[in-house]
Amino acid sequence: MVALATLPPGCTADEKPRGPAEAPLPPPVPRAHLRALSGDVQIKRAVADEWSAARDELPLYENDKVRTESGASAQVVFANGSTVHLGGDSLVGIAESKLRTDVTVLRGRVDATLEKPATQSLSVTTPSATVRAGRKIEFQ
Amino acid sequence: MKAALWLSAWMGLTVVPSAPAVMGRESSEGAARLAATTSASPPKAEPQTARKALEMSRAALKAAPDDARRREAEVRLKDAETHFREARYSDALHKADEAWALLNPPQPSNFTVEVDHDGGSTTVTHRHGPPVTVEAQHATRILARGESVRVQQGTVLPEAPTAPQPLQPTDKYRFTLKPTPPGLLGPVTLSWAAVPGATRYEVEVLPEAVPAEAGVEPASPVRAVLGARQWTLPALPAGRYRWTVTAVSPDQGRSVPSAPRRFELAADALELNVKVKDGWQK
Repeated sequence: MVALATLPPGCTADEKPRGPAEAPLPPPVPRAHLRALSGDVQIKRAVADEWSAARDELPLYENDKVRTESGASAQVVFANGSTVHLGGDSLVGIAESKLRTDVTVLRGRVDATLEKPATQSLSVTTPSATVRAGRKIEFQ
Repeated sequence: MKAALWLSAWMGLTVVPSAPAVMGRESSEGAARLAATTSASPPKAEPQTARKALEMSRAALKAAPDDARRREAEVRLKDAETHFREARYSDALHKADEAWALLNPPQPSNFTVEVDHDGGSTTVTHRHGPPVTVEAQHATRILARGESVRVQQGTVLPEAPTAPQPLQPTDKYRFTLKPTPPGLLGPVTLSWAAVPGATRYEVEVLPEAVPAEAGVEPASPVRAVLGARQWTLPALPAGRYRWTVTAVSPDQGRSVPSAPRRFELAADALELNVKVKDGWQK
């Protein structure tokens, strides 16, 4: 009886008490930001069907895509400081964080820079190859 | 007490799923899991991990200039290879890592990735900083500074062309030449052996230390891309120069630069013309 009395109202002994209402999911963390846009640069969100005009400092999330028209350019700056410069007529995708890649180049040319390769890393995947740069030293 | 845990990982090592190193893009929980399975001592390295580190350090050594740092790195790399042969993979990794660190003082890394319009081929060019790895079809290639590779979708990575062998002039050759009217010296022709698969050669001539002389401008580097296997240099100021040649293949990419050769340009003895009664006397 004592045990039954301690159950929350509405619960039988066979049911597990429900926990508190599920907390809302944390907002997604941007994997990178767009900077130094020049010319016609467009973005397609992972959940969107349409391309829209990009703007400076736009956060980029997993599976977002960015494309530049001929003569345009942009920079994708990752959270660790590594930078991918997109030339004209390029199409790239921001990779899922669970994959060991950061950006997928589907078309065009990118110049990647790591200011501190001793502590930064960057992986660029294309339909034919994966390029990995940098090195990471972890301390516990 | 938090012990400093020595963990180094090349991005190229991430192809080894069981490598005990923290991967560049691995999740923090992966790192935590790794930390939980290790204590203050370095993790045991697997042969693949150590071998990759050795490969990276060898590539860095190959591209390094001949100086004290390179020689020190060479010693560490030899130690690493000894450890590897004796199956002490953690020690091999550690020494290879030290060699790499000596050869790669902090500097930015830069590389270019170009995908053609239909996505069928990718060209990777390493421009600056520590080497990068290129993976395709379960094979890995390391690109050092200046190297490039073109990968066709579904094909294996081509080997880079070998570095050209400089032929003439012999190392440290001293040319004594009469200056041309602006005071420059020439002509000097550089030549090198053919490299299979190469269709062009990139030659770079760099001035070495110029003796401090008032009014003497240090010479600028001169470069050329040629289909031929020789190059007649433009006239240059007197001084010492170092040159290298790199082979470029449309399918295999660029080789590492050749071993550097040196030459010196010196002006022939000055010709003094003395005015005498009936004209000039040499």
